[in-house]
Amino acid sequence: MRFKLLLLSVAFLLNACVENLNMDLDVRGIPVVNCILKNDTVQTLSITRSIGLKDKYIYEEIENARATLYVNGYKIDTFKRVAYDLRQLKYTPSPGASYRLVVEIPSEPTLTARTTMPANTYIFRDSKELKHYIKYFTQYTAQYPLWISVLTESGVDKVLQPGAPPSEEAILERAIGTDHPWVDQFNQNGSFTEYPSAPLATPKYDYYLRIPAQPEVPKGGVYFRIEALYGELSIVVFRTASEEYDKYMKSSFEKMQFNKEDDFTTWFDEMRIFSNIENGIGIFAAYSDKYFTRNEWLPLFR
Amino acid sequence: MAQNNTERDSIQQIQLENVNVYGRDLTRRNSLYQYTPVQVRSLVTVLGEPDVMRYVGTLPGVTQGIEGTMGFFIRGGNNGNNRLELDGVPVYGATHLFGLFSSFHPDIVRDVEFRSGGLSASSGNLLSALSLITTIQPDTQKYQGSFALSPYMLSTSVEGPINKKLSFQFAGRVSLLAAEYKILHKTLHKILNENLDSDLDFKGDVKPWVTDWYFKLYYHPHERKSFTLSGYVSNDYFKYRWPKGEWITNSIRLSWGNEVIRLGWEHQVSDYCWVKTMIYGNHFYAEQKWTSQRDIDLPEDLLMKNDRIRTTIYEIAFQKKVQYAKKRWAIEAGIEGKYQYFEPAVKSVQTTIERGEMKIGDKPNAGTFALFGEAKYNYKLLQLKLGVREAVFLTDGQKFFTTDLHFSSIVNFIRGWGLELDYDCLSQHQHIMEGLPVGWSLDMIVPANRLLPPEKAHQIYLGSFYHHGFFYVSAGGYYKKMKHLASYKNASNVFGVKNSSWEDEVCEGEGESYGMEARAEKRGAYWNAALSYTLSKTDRQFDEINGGRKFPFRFDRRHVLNLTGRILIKTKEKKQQYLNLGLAYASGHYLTVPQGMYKGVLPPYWEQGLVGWVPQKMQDLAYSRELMGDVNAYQMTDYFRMDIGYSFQKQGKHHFRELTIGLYNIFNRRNPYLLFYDDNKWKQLSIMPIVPSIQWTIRF
Repeated sequence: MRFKLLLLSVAFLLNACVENLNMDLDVRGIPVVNCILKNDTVQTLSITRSIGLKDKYIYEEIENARATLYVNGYKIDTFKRVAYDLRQLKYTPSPGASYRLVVEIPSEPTLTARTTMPANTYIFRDSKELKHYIKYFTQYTAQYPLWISVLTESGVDKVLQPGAPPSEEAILERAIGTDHPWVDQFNQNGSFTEYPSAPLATPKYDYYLRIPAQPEVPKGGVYFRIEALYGELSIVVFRTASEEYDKYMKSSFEKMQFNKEDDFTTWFDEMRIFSNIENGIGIFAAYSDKYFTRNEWLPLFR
Repeated sequence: MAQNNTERDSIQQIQLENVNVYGRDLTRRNSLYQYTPVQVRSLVTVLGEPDVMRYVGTLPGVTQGIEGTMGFFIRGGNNGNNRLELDGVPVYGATHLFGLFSSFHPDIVRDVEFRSGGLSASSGNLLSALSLITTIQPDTQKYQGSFALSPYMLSTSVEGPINKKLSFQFAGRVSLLAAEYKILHKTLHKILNENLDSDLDFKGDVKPWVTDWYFKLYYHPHERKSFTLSGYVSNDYFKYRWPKGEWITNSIRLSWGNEVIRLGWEHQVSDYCWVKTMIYGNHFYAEQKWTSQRDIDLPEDLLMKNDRIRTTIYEIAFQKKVQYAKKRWAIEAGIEGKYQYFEPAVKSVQTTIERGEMKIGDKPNAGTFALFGEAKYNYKLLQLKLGVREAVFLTDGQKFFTTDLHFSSIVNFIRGWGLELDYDCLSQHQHIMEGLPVGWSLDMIVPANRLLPPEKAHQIYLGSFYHHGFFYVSAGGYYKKMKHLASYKNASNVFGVKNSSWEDEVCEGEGESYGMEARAEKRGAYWNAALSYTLSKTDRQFDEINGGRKFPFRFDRRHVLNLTGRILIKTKEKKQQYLNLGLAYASGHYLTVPQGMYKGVLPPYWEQGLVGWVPQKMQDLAYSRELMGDVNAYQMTDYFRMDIGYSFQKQGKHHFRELTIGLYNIFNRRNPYLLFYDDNKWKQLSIMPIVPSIQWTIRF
């Protein structure tokens, strides 16, 4: 609940009046491009059209569009359609390289966007494994923003390769705590971690930790901890994001957070989601993931 | 003691038995308006409380924010770009009840001077308009006072001599809301639950409290020397406590206020020279606090938690100025030193004494040192003024040097006609991050720094005027360019900072505004009226907002028209009756509205986080994104309102009584404030329907 607005309502809504209006402000048919490059061998892309506010959430694919990826000015290839609204390109992006996406739609302006593939953030896990709910890390680089999440696998007997991504059955922890000095507090949920074994509580954040990029990192790195309800097999994911991915995700998640309280305070929502698609809307961005596995039954791995 | 100010002539209202004589020669220029609390009484206000600052909203060049509130946007500036001074002391949060009325008791006010151009060099740290409230000198001859009662406030004032050389004034107001809530809370809960139209079951307990207090000691040991010691306190406090739950009870508290102490002394060195010195301490605060109290069997250290965000400014300042006036010249020069300590939205979370308090956020301090000088020249038909203010602002290891320039010239051609030209170069050393445009005190104030340097503006005004007796007409045009403006990137911060790392949430940009202003006014014994009209355009441009494209300022109201009037309806020996009228028209303000939906990219591993309940709207927005129109691209329908009031006055042998009743928005027009999309429909929110008010005042 936006508490200030609750009290404002005491002052105003006693007198306020809400009326229905008969009007249509919808803008339909704007081309939407979503393409996030990742440190993987296959890249995916989607091209659809926007719909009206009253329309059902079915997004029409722009089948006759042609999407081409360029790196540092050189053409790589076009994305191939493999299913409805799914195009793929077999390519592994290079860290530090600049990418340009060009989408051509017959009889419409060409859509373009740019991004840079980030290099993985240099992070090491502390070998201390003293507390069940706390994992310690040291961050040595901060050139790009970082998004951190914790997932827990189900199934006691499952064994994962160290550094492997979480499976599709892994569950994303809904609240994690940290004492990282640079953490963005935009999704702090107002409570503290309360694990009895923890010496000092840290603020909790909803689903993710966002660590903004920094111009400098202290010598020796930044030592911090991540608190969560780690299971017997958990993975901490460090997602190094391009600037575009970071802005897109932050604006998207802020809007989601603002609207999670399903009450009249959402009437005041004017938030705009970041987009870097010229002549269209959507996102062209990149990220690189690094995984730290914690398996209670196996020795520690970095 | 006579006060020298070539611009400000004394106001004399002499009340003799059975006779009222109005002799008024207030200063008036195209960009300068001087008025008294008597004129303010003609305004019909939302709560019926006479409000010395509300009059500003009727002047040309001024646009209001949310209707009924004290957010003023003057010649394209933000509400936070205005400076309000109480006897030279800046007051940062000067409103009550979320911006519904100002926090100054009208009985302490001698006059208010509002300047939108040709500002004075002795006041710095602003980018828009200057409002100077001058308090009265307490009566040295006899005791007098007042008592007033309305449904919202109880107020009183008293002044008089302590001895031949010392006099005092005390004034205070306190709200009746807490008592009224106790009586009416069941009805209030019912109305809110019906209006909120949600699953919220409003049963909690509200504790509202609004108050302001003022005192002044005036000591004049000699006819050429005087000392004043004054203090001012205002406080708004609102607490909401949820009904006691099974195992937890939560409460939220909002409070804000000001505490000011001022010591001034004036010495008339000669017939032409005055020295004025002032020291003051100023504390402004705005706080939100959430407390969670648990009642189950838990370790003691988990039983209670406080979560607090607080914005605070502490300020200590010293100013000394010398004024010299002889024949055609008036010269003023002075120095000012100020130390400020900021706590911009420091977040503090405390679980228990054992856990300790964790404070997050910077607390910068800042120092300002300024030299200023101003020269005025009057010769026959020509008045010229030139002022310069050089300041150095030190904060966070950085220095910012700023130069403010003020130029004003008035040329009187033939009898009554003239031209006025004003130029101002302004700078503001602090940024006020504004959320809801109500002019309330919950906005965050931060000092300029490397990331957000001091705001700057250049403004020029050219106009003409005609005056004859008590009739005055003026018209002119202005242009204003602003830079280094600060704004939240994300509209969600409209409810105040969400992140104590506030630097991540703001960005820097520019603004431009130009327009035409006109005013006609007539003052007289039987009727007063004033008509103001403004035609203007104001834009903003921020690299990180709206894709870097220019967009209209939210309250860029193309046309603004205000008419106020007071008519003496009946007069009979010791009784008078007045009719008060008000009319306000303005072009609609601007909003950013959704125009559609489009496919989004899921947050990381989102579908693997769906264990447990996730609100439907949040889920929808994970898969889809709202397609928002350009920033402030949608214009609301026009605003129109008429008010009417009636005053019954009676002069008794030893007292004066007045009963004022009013109707705000007599046509009950549903002026739209907000447009939103909900339940597959477009809806409009209007805030102020017809609102009656009543106030009873007695003066002795």
